[in-house]
Amino acid sequence: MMDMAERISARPMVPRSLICTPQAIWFWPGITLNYARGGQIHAVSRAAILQAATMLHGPEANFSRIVPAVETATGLLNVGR
Amino acid sequence: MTLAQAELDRSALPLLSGDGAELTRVICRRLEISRPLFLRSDRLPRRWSEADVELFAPDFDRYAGTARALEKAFAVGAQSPDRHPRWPAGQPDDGEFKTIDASEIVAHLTPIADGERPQVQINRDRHKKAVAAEVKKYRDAGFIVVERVRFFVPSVGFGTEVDFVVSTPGFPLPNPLFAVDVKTGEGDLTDNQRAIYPRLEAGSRPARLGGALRRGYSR
Repeated sequence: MMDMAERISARPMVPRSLICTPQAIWFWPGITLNYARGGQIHAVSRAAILQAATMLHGPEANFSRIVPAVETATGLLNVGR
Repeated sequence: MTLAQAELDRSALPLLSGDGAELTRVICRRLEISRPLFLRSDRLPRRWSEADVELFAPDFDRYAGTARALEKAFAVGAQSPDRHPRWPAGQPDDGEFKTIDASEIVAHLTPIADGERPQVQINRDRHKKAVAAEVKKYRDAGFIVVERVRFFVPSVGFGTEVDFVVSTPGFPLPNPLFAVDVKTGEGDLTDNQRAIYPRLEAGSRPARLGGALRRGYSR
């Protein structure tokens, strides 16, 4: 299992594979993790998020907090934050 | 930085797997985008063969538009010829970028390009030459050859791509004879190939049937 020290130490050196624009959250190279409905954006299914992450980051991504991070970030985008 | 981005940065994603690193390299080549300086962890063994990576990478072609639009946003610390000379030296368009020595930061991490010509690249070049030679042999003999035909078997839920399919001229479509996957190394069939090849012999259909038909492959 990846230890937290490795993740934190590497963070400043590693380009993000997960970014957001004002309209959506994107996984590298350009996979959107949101869809729009009723004037709001919503996160795609948890399975879709994990599939995108595990393709590049391996099975350990299943134990990250990417799903709640994307869901929370989606809520923040809806309020312009 | 927005609050949303800060939240994403706390997702605690692990570093790229070895398989993921190789996949990013092939995707960048296919989409013609620069390769972000993702770091990879070697803790997990590689599971995907070169053929597996080449099979998965086309699935990302549909993201070409957004990938190019977001290229700069993802390319923080991207490899540039000025900061990271190519390796081997003096290669303007080929070879790997020599990366910053990130392994000094975290000892057990290795950058994607580690200063040596990767064995997988050497193997791929050898494979390409062997395939080209085989294709030429069949074409010179008058056969129709369609390269890189992808098959998908719904009953197993995944597919594989063969190096080429040999057909004879026919009307309205050519008559496929057999599929060829050229092996140039010591490697055996991949798990996907082992599962799918028997089904190919029983008759299956290419994943992109329309495109395959236009290219002259009819099954």
